[in-house]
Amino acid sequence: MRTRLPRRVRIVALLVIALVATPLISLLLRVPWARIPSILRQEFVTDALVLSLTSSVLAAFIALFLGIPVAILLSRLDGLFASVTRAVMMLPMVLPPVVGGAALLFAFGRRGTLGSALEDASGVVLPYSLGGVVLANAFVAMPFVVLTIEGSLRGLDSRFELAAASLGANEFRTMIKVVLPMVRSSVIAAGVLAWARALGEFGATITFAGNIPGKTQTLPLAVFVAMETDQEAALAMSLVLILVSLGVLLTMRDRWWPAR
Amino acid sequence: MNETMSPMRKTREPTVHRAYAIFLLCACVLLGSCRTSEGVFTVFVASSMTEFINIMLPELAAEFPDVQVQVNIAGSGTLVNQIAEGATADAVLLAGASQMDRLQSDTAFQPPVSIARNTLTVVVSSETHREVNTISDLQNSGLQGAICVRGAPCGALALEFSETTNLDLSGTTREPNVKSVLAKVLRGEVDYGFVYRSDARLAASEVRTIDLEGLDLLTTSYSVALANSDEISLSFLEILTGRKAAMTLEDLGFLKP
Repeated sequence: MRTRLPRRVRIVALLVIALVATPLISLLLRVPWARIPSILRQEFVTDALVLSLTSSVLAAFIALFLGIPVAILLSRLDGLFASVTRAVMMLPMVLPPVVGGAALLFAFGRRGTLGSALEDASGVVLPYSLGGVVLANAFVAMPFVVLTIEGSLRGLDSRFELAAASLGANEFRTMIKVVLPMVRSSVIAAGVLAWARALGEFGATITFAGNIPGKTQTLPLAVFVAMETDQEAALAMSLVLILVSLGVLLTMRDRWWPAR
Repeated sequence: MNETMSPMRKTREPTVHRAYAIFLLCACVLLGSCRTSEGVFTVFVASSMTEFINIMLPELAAEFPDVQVQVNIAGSGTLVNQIAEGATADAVLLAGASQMDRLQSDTAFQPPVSIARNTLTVVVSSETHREVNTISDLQNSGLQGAICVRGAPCGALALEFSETTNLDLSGTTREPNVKSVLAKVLRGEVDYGFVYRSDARLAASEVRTIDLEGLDLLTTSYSVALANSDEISLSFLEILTGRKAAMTLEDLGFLKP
């Protein structure tokens, strides 16, 4: 049982919901529905779509793979060091993505601190390549992985771990076989969040990986370019992004907002 | 129940009211700042005209000391979009006839006055590891190039050049405006870039330039259009079409209109 919802809360909330929905609905009103099939078959659109899906999935896996060890480490640490490390790991989430892209350029760009060594050693140049897109996407997506997984690791009952250890499992095996399976649902949520963030990534990508059609031009970049030349195509691609993101939020609803 | 609730209400309500008051104040400030203010003259300028407008604006300021001049610099395609979607400009200085046509058909700007032309050239980074001396060297694998997006006149010109000469530019990165192409070449992030002759001249000490031969026909024109004919708009137009403007444009590497 709950008390009745106060009327003014209800009114304000409905007004705000309408306010947030208005821009999205206005976009939908401008979508050239009849032309959508032909627009989405255009080469630069299919290229961007395929590239966006590939790079965001790869980036999500990389963010998961690299983010989990950090989440585990942070869940075991307290004090100033942990706070500072956590703040640094969260930075890409709050920084303007352009700044993240520029920072990546100074590190992995051709003249960057690591990039020039990498080029001399292996001939690999990350900017302006698929690798660059994935790196930029993973960079901005990783904080979501660390944040989500660390949270649920902290909520775990440590007795399970101790039991596994007392039964003779070594630390690594305990981690893989006991601890991670217990936070399985947040690992999945982290992966989906990271993927959604990577799919919508714009600033870091265009700064670090450039905007090469068919190579590094992801859907958000294609929307940005098309806004000036072919607004109908921009709207059709925006529609794809909106539907995909909405789909993700709906599939994840049980995880974030369990039914009462 | 009521007895426990009432003291709480007494302490809560003022806080809620204060929060509402702060919210309303923010909303008012926000709405107030959106209105176009008096005494401000807003000019939208194509990126490649940055230096020119910076030299010319003091002339306007000298004539109208009370007017604050605001400059919005971006690629011409972006500027026209901004105006079509409701941004207010008192005057625009655009590159490219097609963007000016779009502005003319979508908005109530006055007919444009042409002030200069520009042509493309290739700038090569001093950082590049490879030999790049002619246009055909650009085709070498392993070179990364940059051009403007198609919506910006510098990009449209580069793609037109690519079509007429069969030079493959499909692997180039598309930058929102000419200044970001130049910046990428200057920082050594890309090996070469297609920029305007005027931009190449600005950076002449830091990059090498390869002229595009036989392509003098590929030019973009710059034109000014006014939103209204008040005193300040007309003197702005006069300044940009005057003798000093023509000399400045020539010095910066632009061609005559």
